[in-house]
Amino acid sequence: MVFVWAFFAIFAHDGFLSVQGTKSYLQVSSEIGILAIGVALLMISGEFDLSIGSLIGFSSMSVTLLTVEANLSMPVASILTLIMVMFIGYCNGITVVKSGLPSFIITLGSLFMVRGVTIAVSKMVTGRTQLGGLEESKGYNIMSSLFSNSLTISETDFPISILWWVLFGILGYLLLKHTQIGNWIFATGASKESAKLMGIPVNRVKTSLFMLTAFCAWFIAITQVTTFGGADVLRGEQKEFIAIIAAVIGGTLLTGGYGSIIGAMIGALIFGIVKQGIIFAGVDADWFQVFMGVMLISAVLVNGVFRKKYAHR
Amino acid sequence: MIKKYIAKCFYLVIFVCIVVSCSNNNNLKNNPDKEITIKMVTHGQATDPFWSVVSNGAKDAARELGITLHYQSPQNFDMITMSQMIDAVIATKPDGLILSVPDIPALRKSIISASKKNIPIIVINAGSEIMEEVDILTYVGQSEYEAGLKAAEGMLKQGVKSVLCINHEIGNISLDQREQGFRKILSENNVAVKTVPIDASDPSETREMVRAFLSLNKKVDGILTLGPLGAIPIVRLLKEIDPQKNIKLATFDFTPEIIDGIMDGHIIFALDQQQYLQGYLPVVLMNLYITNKNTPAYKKLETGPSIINIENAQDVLALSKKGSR
Repeated sequence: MVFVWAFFAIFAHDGFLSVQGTKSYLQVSSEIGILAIGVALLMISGEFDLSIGSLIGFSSMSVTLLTVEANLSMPVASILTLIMVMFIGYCNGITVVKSGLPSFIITLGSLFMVRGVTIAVSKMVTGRTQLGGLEESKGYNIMSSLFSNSLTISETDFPISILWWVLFGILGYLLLKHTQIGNWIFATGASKESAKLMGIPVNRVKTSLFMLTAFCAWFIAITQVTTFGGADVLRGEQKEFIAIIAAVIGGTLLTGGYGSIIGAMIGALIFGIVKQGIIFAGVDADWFQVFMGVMLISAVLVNGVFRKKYAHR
Repeated sequence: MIKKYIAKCFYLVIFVCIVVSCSNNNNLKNNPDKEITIKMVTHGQATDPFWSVVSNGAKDAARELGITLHYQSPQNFDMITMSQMIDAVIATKPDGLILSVPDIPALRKSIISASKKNIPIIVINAGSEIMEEVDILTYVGQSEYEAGLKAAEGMLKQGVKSVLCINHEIGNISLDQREQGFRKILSENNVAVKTVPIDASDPSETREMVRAFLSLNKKVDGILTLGPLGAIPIVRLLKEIDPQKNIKLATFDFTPEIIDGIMDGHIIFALDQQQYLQGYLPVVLMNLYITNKNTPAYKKLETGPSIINIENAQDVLALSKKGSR
């Protein structure tokens, strides 16, 4: 990561190192990072959640609709939305553990369902796919001070999401490394059968982690609607893959049972640096996807090499 | 742990070095004079032929003037990514900023922060309304609502009774304005307007959606697409299912495929906003502002619409293939 940063520091001389440049990649990293923390925990337990991208769209549209159209105050709308989103996460989890089908397929299904419902309902209610005007609504100030406040350092506004990212990272780290639940998550992902035999509530662990990823999606949605004062139905498109990429770059195994929160955070940070660094370097953003692909494959290759070494010792 | 990351980063750096160093060298060779740097951020999707003409215009102007131009756009129609791109570009302190603004609420913050840093801004193609809030040098584009009216008049001349209107970029204000203008005139003349949602990045899906729609709605005798991404798959479809040319297709903007469609009669006309000018003119104007403090008196430089039909299609075909019309 230090190398990636140093690389862009050299090539993208103008602006990347400035305070504003730092803010620009930290902001991108923090939003992906919060998602990646939830996704990494779920992946360690051996499951995927592809529905988070559309959950972001759903949450942002739902909050905006409830506030602007139904005239609820924004905190109430947000909590109602959170309940709905957690319920979708719960449904994902229950369907996966009860049916025993791969979560990849189940959540791919809910990805489409949730996105479709979001577009259909918003068009039905408002006839539009893009809504604004949250700034004038009741309770906007409270929400925006929680989610999109910023700290000004040398004339640059650092968004509060960076702070949340670090806080969630610390909580996730403690949960995974220093609590019984953390052990449960590892055991569930390493071998479901033996975890069951040891008396670990495997199904409950998995279902609550699905709810956790849904919560992360909601959190990002609220951050975005308070920052931009509105929503559109396509919010969060492709974020599901980006969060998985960040977790994998950080060393989380696709097969479960191995991974770390710090790794996922570093993965998100690398992602942000590359994404914004390319712009600073003046390279056409078309190249960004090439970088992402190269990074993903080399991260997985290196992880494989190191795991083999580790296993022989 | 640490060893692991060092090794990982080592691989990354090698790959990253190769790609970036190539592109950086090219930039240096083309632009020995690094004094003026103009940055351009648009919402043009990588697959949209319309925007490659805009970027050709901008790059031609920059080459002729001997200044540096960086052109950026998000991969898909994603306004949050676009606002983050603008933030990053502002941090590089460019001498001038050229932006398209298809979603004012989402991009407002970024534009205001550029204006606070005293970076001169020219808006192109979409979002002229932003000039009510932010001081911009000028807007280069077409009046979308009026263009919509013009499209409707052209359609009425063909005697259509029921029209399908296709929006390939949901959430883009310019396209909404085109559609509003179009719908207004047609509803005044009691012509029904229907719509189908499409995914612009997938031409075969677009074609099949429209095929299904047309087989269910046999009365539809006109189609208006709001851009070439919608029109190209539909021309192919019409060649297949409507050889008698009963369905009148018209589109906003054009590409060589659209002109071919006009010449063989499947497309009755294309509204041309001459987007090459939307790349070329802002670079020239920005350069004049930076070096000579010239400010255009017209706050809205209109580049269109002009109409391309069977009479003048031949003239622009070669130019369009070259990527300048």
